Amino acid sequence: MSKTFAYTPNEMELEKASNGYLMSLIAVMAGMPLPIINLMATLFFYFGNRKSTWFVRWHCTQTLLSQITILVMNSVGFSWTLSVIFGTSILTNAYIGYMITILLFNLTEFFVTISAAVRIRKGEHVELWFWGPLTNMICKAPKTNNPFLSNPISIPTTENM
Amino acid sequence: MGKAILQFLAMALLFFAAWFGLSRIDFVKIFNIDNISKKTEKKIGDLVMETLDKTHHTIDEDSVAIVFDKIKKRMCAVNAIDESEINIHLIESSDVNAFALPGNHLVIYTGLIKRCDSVTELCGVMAHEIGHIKLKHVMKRLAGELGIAVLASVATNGNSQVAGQIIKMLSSSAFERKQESEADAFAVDCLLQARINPRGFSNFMMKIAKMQSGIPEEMEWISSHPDSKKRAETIRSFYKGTTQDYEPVLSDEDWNSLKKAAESE
Repeated sequence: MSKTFAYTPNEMELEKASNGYLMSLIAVMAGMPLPIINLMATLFFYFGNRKSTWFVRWHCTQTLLSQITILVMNSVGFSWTLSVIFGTSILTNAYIGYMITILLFNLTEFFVTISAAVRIRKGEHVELWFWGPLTNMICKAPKTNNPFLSNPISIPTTENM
Repeated sequence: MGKAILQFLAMALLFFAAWFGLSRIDFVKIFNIDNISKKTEKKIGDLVMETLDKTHHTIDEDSVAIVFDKIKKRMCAVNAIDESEINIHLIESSDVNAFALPGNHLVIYTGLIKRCDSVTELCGVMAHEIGHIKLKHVMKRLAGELGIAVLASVATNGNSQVAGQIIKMLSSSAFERKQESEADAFAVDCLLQARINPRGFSNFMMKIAKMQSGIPEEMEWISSHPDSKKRAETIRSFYKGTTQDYEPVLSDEDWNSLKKAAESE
């Protein structure tokens, strides 16, 4: 869902915010067998940008939250799979149903993330279902009338204003 | 805040609805998983039997096989069990033991036959072990204790060391209490359907209950089937009140020839 942000971000912010989403995509490749890798990659990117502008922080937070949700689902699937292979669980319809469900959710999240990265790079502010409102609650506006004062490097150009 | 909660609930609902809906599809049947497990079980069973044959002497006299076939036919015919699926092996050993192995193998030690005073006692033990086979307790237990990965490696690589462990595990320790109870109930039902007096089964359990104080090592079936007195009472309760005419399982001649074969070893 595309919304209007409190201010118009500059090119550098758009690129950084978009990279946050791309980072989570790259991590998905590595994170297929071990879901924690997705989260770690996004977490490093988040901490790397926590002192960035509000726009960048907002999007890094949204990516992180989406990854945490996916991590929970994937971790359950991962431990269930381990239990089937090495433990007491057996292959049941419930297990296969769960694995297909998380696959569908992962795929949806994958394509939503690609779309968000592209649209943000084009200058849109994308608020995802559930994670958008949640990010709004967590990532509040800086306590200043000018959101760019926290990071002088990212002061937007006049044409972006 | 309200919006986030609502959207979270909607997402959770969608997730669980998708999971529930997909779980209704019989993937196990579609992907033929049962058949794959049957093939794996057969391979493990063959390997385990091969290992058992190397360490024990199997009595494969025709006269013994004919007697076992008669008992098997009697129990399987009326219980919708394919008799060709159950493979009975009489092993020479003084141990009082009988156990089910993967691949529908039922192993009976001569020591157990020696302890049986009537054929109905033997039928009770056999029906109990067939219960473990039909209720898939054997593979469930192996998957639980060894894991599917180990079982798959046994089936593909033929690891005889693990096969030895499987024999030890299945011959010397009991299944879960619930599974033992299920096998007992299966046995009584199976015996009643076959018009075989289940009293023999409960009598055998009572007999081993009496022996349980100071169990010698060779009494493996006894030590692997604890609480025999309580179980004998439960078995009695399963058939209490049933009015049925029982028919002899074997002729005296057949039973004596089986006893003789077991005792002569």
